[in-house]
Amino acid sequence: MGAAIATLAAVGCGQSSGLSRQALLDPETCKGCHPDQFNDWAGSMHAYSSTDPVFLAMNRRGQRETNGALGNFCVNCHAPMAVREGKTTDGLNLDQVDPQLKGVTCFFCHSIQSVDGDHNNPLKLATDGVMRAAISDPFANRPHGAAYSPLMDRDRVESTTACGACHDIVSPQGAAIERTFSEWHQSVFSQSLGATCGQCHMPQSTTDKPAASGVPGAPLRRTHSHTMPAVDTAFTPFPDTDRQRNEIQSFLETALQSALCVEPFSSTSIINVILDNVGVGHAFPSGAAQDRRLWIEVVAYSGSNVVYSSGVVPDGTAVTALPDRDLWLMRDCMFDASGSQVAMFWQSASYEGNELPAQVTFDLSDPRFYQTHKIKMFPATGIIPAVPDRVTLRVRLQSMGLDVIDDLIRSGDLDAQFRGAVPTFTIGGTLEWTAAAATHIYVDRSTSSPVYCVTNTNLNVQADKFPAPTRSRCTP
Amino acid sequence: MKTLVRLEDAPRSMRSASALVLLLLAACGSKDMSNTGDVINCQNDSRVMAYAPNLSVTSPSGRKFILMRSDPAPPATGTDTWTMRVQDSSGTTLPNLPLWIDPNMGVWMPDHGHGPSVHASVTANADGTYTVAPLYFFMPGVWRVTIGSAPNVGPNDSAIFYFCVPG
Repeated sequence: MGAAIATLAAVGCGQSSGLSRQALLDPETCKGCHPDQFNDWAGSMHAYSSTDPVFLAMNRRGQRETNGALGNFCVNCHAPMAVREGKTTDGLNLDQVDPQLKGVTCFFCHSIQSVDGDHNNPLKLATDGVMRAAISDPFANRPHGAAYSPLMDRDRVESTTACGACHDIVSPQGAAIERTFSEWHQSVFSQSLGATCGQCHMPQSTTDKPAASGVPGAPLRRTHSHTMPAVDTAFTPFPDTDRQRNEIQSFLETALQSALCVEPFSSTSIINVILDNVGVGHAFPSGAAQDRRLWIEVVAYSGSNVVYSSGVVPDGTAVTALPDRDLWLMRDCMFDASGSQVAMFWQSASYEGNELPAQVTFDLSDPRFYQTHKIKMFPATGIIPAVPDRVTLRVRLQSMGLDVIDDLIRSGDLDAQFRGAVPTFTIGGTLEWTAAAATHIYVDRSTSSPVYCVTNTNLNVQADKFPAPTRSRCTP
Repeated sequence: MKTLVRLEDAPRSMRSASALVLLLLAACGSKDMSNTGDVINCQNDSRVMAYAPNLSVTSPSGRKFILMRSDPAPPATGTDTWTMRVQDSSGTTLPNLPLWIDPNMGVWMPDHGHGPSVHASVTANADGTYTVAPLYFFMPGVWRVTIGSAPNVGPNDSAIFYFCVPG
């Protein structure tokens, strides 16, 4: 491999002869001519997917608890080239696998020939050594063949099927435990004025750039990012972790629109929180929603006294441990074949979720347009025995719940040091309600009372609103 | 708005049942791709303008709003900045106008029914141009930017730009 890179460096990307398959398998080879794309990818979750300690812990435990029946279920997406090259069958030996085969590599995505299913990695790879991409008129080059593929073209709907191959996962017992592709497909974002996976997660460059460096005569292109931010972060030292978190935070800032409302009575009140998933082309949270924890923190004050709170999670505490009957926690729960709640996906035969759904129409005259406006009342029953003069709202997210981390630590599969590596994101900052700031008003039809709201977005509080999805089979 | 019955006003049992139905519907989809567009891209949308430096829009009163340049160009996802000039119908540059962008719908995705959470504003520059920023096009799609006179100041006049912001 070092020889291949040395060759590229010595003769230039436009002059080197054809790279061998072994050379193409190694992302370090790609780096020689595609340094921007490589550097993006090297700090991405695609590069991290088979070194992530939580993945390794879950796979280790899953293999043990299923007596190996889990097989390549995890590693088939987390280290697909290691599986296809015959270097692992269960992911338990990944520490001995060549680094070039770890993660979701350049070769893996850019060799996709067809998508022969819609979940659990049904991708068929080409064997011709041609690297596929979105460029419709690839520049003839010597290191490798190059071809256009609609599966790599972010403007083509086919490209979503390539992503969906590993972003919809069905458990061994048949539970659709990851549904990002399905959620997108059922949303308006799959229509012609929507957005594909790549258009949001791999944004286009704002200037023309060389798609490959050091290739004389090659045209400049609008390239696209390969950092692919979503919500997951590296829990161990990894390239570009600051950029990764900043990109995630930036992504999350516009995911939701929110409003914080107070309905005052003579000496009592209730609080309503409205959320609308406007910026996400799938449900939110999504992916491994059984591990995600998205919750609402509401604190109401009268002077300096807290007169009501929900979702206030002390640092280091799992949100699921809160004794909070009003908690608005969005996540999946999983159940085994007998209907008992389970914590690990290999045990799951069914699930129940209460995530914020994606938009299903862009037509404002369609009643379904407002079905993503979700409202929840605090307290869920009863009233607040005061009219607050200040209320704060924060929408908080952990990509991996501390209760999941604790479970893996207790089973001996994860080192306790990683507990402190789980970030808690706040989405959209803190929204503060005061009577003076509450200029958005709607009428509660059940009480005929005005409800006073603040929002730092364009959320129309007067529009129809629907109750927040609930789970009936598990708490919290 | 609309005359839809709001479920929040319905009995709680009905709310739970409705939520369950929605959940079940969400879980039952197959991935027949026939209902999706072959191409997901707004570049050929009839509303959008082809960006070029000095692209102009004439307002109802005859003022010409000239988008001298967008940074980045053409408009792209992220935070964009526009530099503009305004001329009257005779071509005379009009500096220091009280231009503004409505904080609610001045920057808007007409198909999605929402705008960004960051509000843009218009600043008059010493050289007679205007800076419009931050234009936060946070997702791909058709974006509409409406630049007009501040309320109660000058004629009620505006210019509307439509751009396809690619992903």
